[in-house]
Amino acid sequence: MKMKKCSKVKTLLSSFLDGELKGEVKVDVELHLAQCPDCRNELALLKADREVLTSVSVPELSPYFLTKTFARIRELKERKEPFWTRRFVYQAGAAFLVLLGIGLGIFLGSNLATHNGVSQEIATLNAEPSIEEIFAVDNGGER
Amino acid sequence: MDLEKTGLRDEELVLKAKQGDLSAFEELIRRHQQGLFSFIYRIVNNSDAAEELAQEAWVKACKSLKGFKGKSGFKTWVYRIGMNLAFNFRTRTKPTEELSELLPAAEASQPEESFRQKRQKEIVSQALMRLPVDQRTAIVLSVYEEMSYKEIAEVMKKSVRAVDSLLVRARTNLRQLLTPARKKGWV
Repeated sequence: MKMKKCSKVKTLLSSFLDGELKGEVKVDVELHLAQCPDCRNELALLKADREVLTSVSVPELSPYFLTKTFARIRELKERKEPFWTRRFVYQAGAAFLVLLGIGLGIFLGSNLATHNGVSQEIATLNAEPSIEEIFAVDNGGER
Repeated sequence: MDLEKTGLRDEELVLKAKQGDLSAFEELIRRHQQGLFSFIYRIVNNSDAAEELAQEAWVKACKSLKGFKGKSGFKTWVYRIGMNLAFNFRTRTKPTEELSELLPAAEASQPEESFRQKRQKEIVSQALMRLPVDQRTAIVLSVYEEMSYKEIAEVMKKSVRAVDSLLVRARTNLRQLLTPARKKGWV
């Protein structure tokens, strides 16, 4: 396997340090490092730089951060859903349709009953003798 | 704290949160709040602003959650929101002072070692702040958040190769910035 040149290896040391090299490239770098003190020294300096960076701490997050953030989110959710929400409209619409159906049913039902009553009256009227028939009988049996 | 949620993966919590389970979103915040705050702090170098921006990031994440498709991880997605807020904040505020102006004067009451450590932290912190913001972001995500190049690429919306290049340049620049302090034994 042909050894990589130092100039090439040095460009790879950053990703080698971060564990990003894989396969043949990683093996090549490892082989080169085993035989090149200059590149080993460069890698050591990169590691030292990284350790210096990790010495920088950050302030602790406020213990109330979660509470405050969540309160904002809850407020956002409540503000987003006034009573005239889409869900309310759908529910109101469904209730209206049910009432309409009931009302229509009552209306139709009462109409049906009225129609039957009128028919009966007509049937009753038809069964009785007409005025002409009554006069005809009276004329026939003249008094 | 809902103990049932602590064992769930981020993807499962996101699904529950999308269905309206606020306690699932609360668990997501609990998991990533310190990391997101630390990340933003290292970009803006101001703890009050970082806390405000972190809170804003969570509110934005909650508003946009329905649009999150899961192509990237939830963590990288919310870090991206935080990063954008931090970048916008930086463009609105004045740049940091020169490194040499910020070296602390020796305080007679402080022990030598703790003073030296404090000085080193301030020097390194200021050197980080002097990096271009994209190099600083990449190095913060790599060193402090221990993200892979792929994850960093997702946060920064760059290619993995571009992330690698940023990190190489960031390390080179940091080395140059820290050399004077190193020569004086401060770092």
